[in-house]
Amino acid sequence: VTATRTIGASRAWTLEISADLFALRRVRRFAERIAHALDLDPTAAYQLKIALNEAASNAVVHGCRRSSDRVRMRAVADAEELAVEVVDPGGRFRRGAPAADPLGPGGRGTILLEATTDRVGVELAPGRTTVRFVKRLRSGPSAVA
Amino acid sequence: MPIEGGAQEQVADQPQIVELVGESDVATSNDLREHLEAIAGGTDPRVVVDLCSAEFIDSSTLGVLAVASKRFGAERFAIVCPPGEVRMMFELTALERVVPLYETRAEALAAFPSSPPPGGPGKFEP
Repeated sequence: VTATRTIGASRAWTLEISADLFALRRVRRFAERIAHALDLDPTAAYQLKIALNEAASNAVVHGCRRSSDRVRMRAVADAEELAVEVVDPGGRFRRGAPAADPLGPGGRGTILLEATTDRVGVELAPGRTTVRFVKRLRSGPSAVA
Repeated sequence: MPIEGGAQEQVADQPQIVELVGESDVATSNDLREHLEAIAGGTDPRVVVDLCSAEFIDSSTLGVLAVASKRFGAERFAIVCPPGEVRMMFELTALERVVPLYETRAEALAAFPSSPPPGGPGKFEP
């Protein structure tokens, strides 16, 4: 399920996938569509794809228990920024363990999410985990600091 | 191997080459891990993972490559990844400092000693 609509001066995109590892490629195509619509430069476009893929992977792997579970994504852009929400039904976001071993198996999803976005937040509620991240679309004074 | 378009080659006295083509993510990283484990347990436990034709790799793929780098050990494992978007994944996670990365397959192969170092790889899982 995917949709695009315009709300006032902002634009919104939504995608819903099943709890299926093979649905993640659709998430990356979704990220590419948003980047194209927003005319992001190639680096920002790739960063958006990395961030959405990692957030959605985490949601499918750790946030879904049944194959009937769904992961919902919503992105809203205004002139200043793109805000993305990834919602899963698990209520158990797994933040990667601090990388004590630089060659350890895990912990890089969170690192990548933080490295490719301007803000990341996680909201845990019973039966609902929401990962939100923001990418600035215009470099304002805060981007310089 | 069941990795999208994955290919494997072996030339006598050279490490095995595992090529990742297209997109690698949590749907494929388990296959990659099992494949590398099989090479590590084989008679010539040396491998070059070639990412020249990879379009995207995710954190789970990075995790498999990091663990493999540790398990195979020095002079038995190399990654080929030219500058670009895929290389960015190693840079963002600081893995570029701890895994043997080369820009071309020729450079990676040149870094292997002419005969395999003695001993075998360690365990994949800690």
